[in-house]
Amino acid sequence: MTKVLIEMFGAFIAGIGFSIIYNTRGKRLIWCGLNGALAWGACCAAAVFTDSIFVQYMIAAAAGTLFSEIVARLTKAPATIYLIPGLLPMVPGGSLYYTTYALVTSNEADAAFFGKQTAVCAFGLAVGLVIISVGMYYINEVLLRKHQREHS
Amino acid sequence: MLKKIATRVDPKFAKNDYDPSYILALVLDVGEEMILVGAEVSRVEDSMSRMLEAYGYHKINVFCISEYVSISFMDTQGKTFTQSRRVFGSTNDFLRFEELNSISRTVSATKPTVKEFWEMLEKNTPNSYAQTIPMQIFAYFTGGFGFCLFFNGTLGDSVAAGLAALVLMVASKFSKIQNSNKMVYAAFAAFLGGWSALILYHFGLGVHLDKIMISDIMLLVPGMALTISIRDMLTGDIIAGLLRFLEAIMVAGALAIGYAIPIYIWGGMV
Repeated sequence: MTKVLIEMFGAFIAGIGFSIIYNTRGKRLIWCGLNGALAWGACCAAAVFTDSIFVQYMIAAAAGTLFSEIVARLTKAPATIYLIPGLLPMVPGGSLYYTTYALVTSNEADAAFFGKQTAVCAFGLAVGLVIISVGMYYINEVLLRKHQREHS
Repeated sequence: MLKKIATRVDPKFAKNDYDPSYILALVLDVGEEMILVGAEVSRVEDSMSRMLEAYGYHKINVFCISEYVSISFMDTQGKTFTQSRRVFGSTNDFLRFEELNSISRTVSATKPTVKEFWEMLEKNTPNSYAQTIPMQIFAYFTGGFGFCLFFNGTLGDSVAAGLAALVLMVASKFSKIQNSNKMVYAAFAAFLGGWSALILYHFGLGVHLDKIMISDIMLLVPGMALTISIRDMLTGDIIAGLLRFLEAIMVAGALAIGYAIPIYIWGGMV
């Protein structure tokens, strides 16, 4: 439990650091950090119920996307601003690097192992992201059409 | 190479307040700049077609990938207009992103004239707090520090990772002057980052070299680009997704080469 809390804290400050590098407005930083901590928390919580990395990352990405869409509505900013620092700790950057490193040093067994891991993580995250953001897009469209009908 | 977008289409030659070719050029400016500051392709296409719809044009066709934007439409008199832009490079600047997003919303809602639209885009933004050197140092340090904590490094490892991240900050300043391409920059930054991690480890700061290195790699590696590229492909923007996907893999390869050199010279992974 302490380990997860420390990791969530790490995700929180890494998210804030990255948001400053990405030139985010000052008052939005705290949400960016919180999104990172929350998404990693969701990933750890999912790990209790399932062993599949794909499902864990999918749930985490869905939680992060939902959070960023809600915060985006509350603060009237595009959701991408919160989404990118939120998912950053989970993106398969490490395994992508290990894959290419193994390829460069001609270690084929490692390349296959990390390549598979990269693919599973990236695909899981992307599926979680798509489920929520496509759902949100249609909800938005319906609300917009309704708004336009009322005003015309 | 990052193209400067200082040369926006000046509206003084516009035939009237709603000259379609100037409106189109300005809409393209918004789209181009949105890609440059790191917006998703689907969002850019969406906001460009919304803006044009607001002006009452027909047959609006918008095509956008991360390196190219093209728009074609028919105006109210039945004349067809087509323009395209080549987009060079992309960064992440969420302050400008927010502004552009609100500009596109205002344009769709209020239908400004060419001059008003142009003034909206040209309005100088106040310098952000994040561009100051102390803030950048803080940001890179917390980035590396946070990632190392996230990967279960000790406190010493985290401090080492934060310090090595500062070297990457220096590298990022360097590359802007050199205008080098993405792959060369990645290899160069990785080379410097690898050396600084090894040297800090050698001086006894931190006990897990692999954790220090991977925390700094996370600052450079296009993991987010990889995830976003698969998202793009799943939502139907296959070409845009493929381009980004290939770029992510190429940059990761360049990073691996950049990190491999110091490790080889040092004599294998310690």
